Amino acid sequence: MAARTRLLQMAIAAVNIAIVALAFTSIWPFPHGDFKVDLPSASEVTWSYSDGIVHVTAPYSIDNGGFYDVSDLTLHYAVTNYSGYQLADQTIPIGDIPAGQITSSSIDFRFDLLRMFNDGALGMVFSDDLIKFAVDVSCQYTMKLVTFEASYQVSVPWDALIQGWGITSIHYPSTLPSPGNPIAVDVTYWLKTADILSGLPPAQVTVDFLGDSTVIGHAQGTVQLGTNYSDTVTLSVTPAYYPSYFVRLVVNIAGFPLNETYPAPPLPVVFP
Amino acid sequence: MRQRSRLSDATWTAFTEALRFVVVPIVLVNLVTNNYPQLTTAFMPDIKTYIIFFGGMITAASTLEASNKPGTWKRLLFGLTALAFVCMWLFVIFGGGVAHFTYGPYFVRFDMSKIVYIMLFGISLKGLLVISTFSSNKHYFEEQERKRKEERPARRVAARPKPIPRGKPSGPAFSSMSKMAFEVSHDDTVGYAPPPPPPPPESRSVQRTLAYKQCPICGAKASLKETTCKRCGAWFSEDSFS
Repeated sequence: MAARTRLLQMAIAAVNIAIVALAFTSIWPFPHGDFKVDLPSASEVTWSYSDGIVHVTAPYSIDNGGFYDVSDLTLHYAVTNYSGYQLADQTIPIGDIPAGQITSSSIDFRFDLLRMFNDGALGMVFSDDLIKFAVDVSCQYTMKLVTFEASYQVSVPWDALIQGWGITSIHYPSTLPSPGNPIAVDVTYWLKTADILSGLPPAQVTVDFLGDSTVIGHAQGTVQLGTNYSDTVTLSVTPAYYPSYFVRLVVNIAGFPLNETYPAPPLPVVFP
Repeated sequence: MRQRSRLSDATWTAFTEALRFVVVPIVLVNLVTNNYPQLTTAFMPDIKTYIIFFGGMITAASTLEASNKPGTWKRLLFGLTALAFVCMWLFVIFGGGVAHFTYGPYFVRFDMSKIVYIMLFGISLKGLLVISTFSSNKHYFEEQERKRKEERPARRVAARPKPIPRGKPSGPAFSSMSKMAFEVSHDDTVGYAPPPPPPPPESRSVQRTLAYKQCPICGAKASLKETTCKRCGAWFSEDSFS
């Protein structure tokens, strides 16, 4: 009888030791850092822009340094702007990671900013925004006995594509031309665009001098993107009397048209 | 001696169980909550109350278990009760197996409820041991009880004064024929001898403790229940029967 009890006692002890070992090996890798999930930080998010499409990449890695294989690893991300407009939403089924291996990849998505712009969402083109990344990682561990879920939210500042523009000065020559000859008007303009556009070719800018709504002077120039660019163009304006004069700046930046009109001082000429 | 052993067992169990299930866990929980305030479980806000309650119940049940002999129903009941409380205690300590950890922009949810259930299963296996101890000791305990019950009347009988055994008559005796004391001498002298002198008066206390009566013929002592004297065979008077 005592032997039977002793045997039972030993069997129970063995089962309990096995369970404790299972629990320990399941939990230990997480606080000890053997199982690591490195999700992208704000500084690791890279942006690029091409033909109205914004391309975003953010690296991540999952290090399974534990005792058991990771199974059913899934990564889900949702990206919205500050006003809640959804830019991306995707689930990436990564699968299994054997014990001792590291899986590295990147969150990679694109969104059509031009389409957004055409749909009336002008915010990200002309004003700064805050892009919210919500990343969820879930997986099973220890023969699917443990479920691990990690959520991560980070806000990445978004710089407006076209941050500012304007006309600095409209300069008439100090020496007036003889009557009937065109007058050379210097117009200095500036345009500040986001760094994301720096790889794009320079944009064409058109400066018109208007008498009321009639174009009486015209010049073209180029604008270097991705910087705070300033330049001066000289317009040949045919003197004619109009009640009011304007300078119109027309520029197409990566598909986003700009059309802005500024009042100009009266032409300093004597009209016949 | 055995009673004192049960008491010391119970005291020792109370001490160790209080240490294991109340004092040490509270110290550990204090350490964890102070160093990792971001860690939360379902029972974390009132974890100390839960530990004190369930730990106290475990201590009480284990103490009562140890204070009862193996093989008794009480020991079985308190053993299983203590085990049930250990399961509840473990479930509370592990927060049901679900822990949340918030650190900056990170939110981690760790669900090991299945492992907790396996641990509960492992702990509840000890119930088999409690039942096995009960069943193996029960027969022994019952046998002891039965023996004790049997021994009790025997002891009572042994405590009574032993009746004087009657001498076996070797042949025909006049004692069975006559109610009167007589003496047969070895010679031809035949006649009735005078009755023997009455025995010296005994102290009252002895009479009180040893209930007997004396044969009015031969003076032999006899139990109150006896109807005839075992020495001489004389009948006792009717009022002397108890």
